[in-house]
Amino acid sequence: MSQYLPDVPELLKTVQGYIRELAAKSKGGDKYDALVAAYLLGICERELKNGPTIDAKEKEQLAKFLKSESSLEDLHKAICAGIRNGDLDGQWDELLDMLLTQTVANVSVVRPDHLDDMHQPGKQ
Amino acid sequence: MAQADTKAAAGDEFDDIRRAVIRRFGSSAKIDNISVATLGGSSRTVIFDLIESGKTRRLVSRQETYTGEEDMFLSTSGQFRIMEVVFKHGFPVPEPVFEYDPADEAGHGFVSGFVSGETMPKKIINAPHFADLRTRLAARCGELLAQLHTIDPGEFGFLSERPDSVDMVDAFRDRYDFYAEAHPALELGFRWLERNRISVPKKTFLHGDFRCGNIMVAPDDIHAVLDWECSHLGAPMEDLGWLCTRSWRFDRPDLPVGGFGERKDLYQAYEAAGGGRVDPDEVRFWEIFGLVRWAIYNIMQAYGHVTGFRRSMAFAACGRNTSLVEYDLLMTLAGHYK
Repeated sequence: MSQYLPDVPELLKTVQGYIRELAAKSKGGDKYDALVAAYLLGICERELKNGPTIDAKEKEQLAKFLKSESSLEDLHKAICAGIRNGDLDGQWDELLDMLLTQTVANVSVVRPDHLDDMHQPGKQ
Repeated sequence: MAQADTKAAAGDEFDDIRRAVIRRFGSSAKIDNISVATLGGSSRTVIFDLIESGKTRRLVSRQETYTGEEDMFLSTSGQFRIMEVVFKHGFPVPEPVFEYDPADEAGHGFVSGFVSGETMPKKIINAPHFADLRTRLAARCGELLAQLHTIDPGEFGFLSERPDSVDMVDAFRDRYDFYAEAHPALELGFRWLERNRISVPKKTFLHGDFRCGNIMVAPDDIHAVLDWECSHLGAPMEDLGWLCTRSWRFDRPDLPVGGFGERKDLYQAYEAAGGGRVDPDEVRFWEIFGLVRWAIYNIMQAYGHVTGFRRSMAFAACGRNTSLVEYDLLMTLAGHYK
């Protein structure tokens, strides 16, 4: 349906704008819920745009680290098991670096302004 | 907290409270000037005037709106017992008035005295009229925690079987496992805790959730400490570490004590008030645990949302916000956050 405008990110932006207007006119619990709703739509917008690239990169990093090809879900389970049973204790710093890099990418979808300056583009 | 003022009239939604009040204070007792807190997670909170024997007292009713997760949070009955003990020791807590019983047909909950003040973290941390209080708030927290930690834990024997009292780290690992989600960052946090495990030779009574949001302040002092649903027995440094956990600094991460104060003020006041020696390394252990714990609370809220157990806009956001806490955890483990 790509021939029809607006596209999905633009639709999300439109609904988000409307909800923000509602939030400005609301009070109490309604205002709070409207602000959270706008926040959630922001996550959807960024995940649609960047999610596939982030997941692909994460899968590539985990596969390389674990020397194992699998689905992202299975790689997550495998690295969790490796951490828990102590198999990866000897690669602690490398592991921490990789997980931090991946978490930075995830936070950039959820709430980019939560990142420290060292992880903000242009602020390092 | 948003509130809706409601005039009391028999036959309305407050009949359960009215019935309970009449059972305890006589048929001439009345309730009036009722407000309902509309922002609440796990409880119904109603504020009202009790009029009896020519006197008017402002009271708060707190009733459970759902049961479940008993393992995670203390029942209102347990909270009421705790409030009775700490109130008796002169600790600033709303006066416990009565606990609902089955004959009230009001579910589980209790009524306590009303304390006015500010609980909103951003106001406590930023508002100009709290500027003077903020200069001594970390020390005041140290004094209060010392006071709490020196109460004989034997008075809270009913908490000893709680999983949190047996082993706080294990209790949260079990909860994490229950949700069966794979979070490498949290696994790394648990692994760090395992490799740096501390011993708890003597268990102390802990508030368990002592931070901005659960302290009620006025410009002169902390007037009440609220929300005892996470109370348990454990290492005293855990309460100090939780207060310093990065998530509880809100928009002032540069101020390690709750976003309003410095560590030395908290530690010195705690020791001076008889709380025992503060071990900064142990406080850091509990800060790292605090981030793991807070991430698991967020997972729990999302689980409640996606399973339909209790859905809300905020709980949906909690699931995704787990990544923010994981980021803080990894930044702390990497030494970037102090």
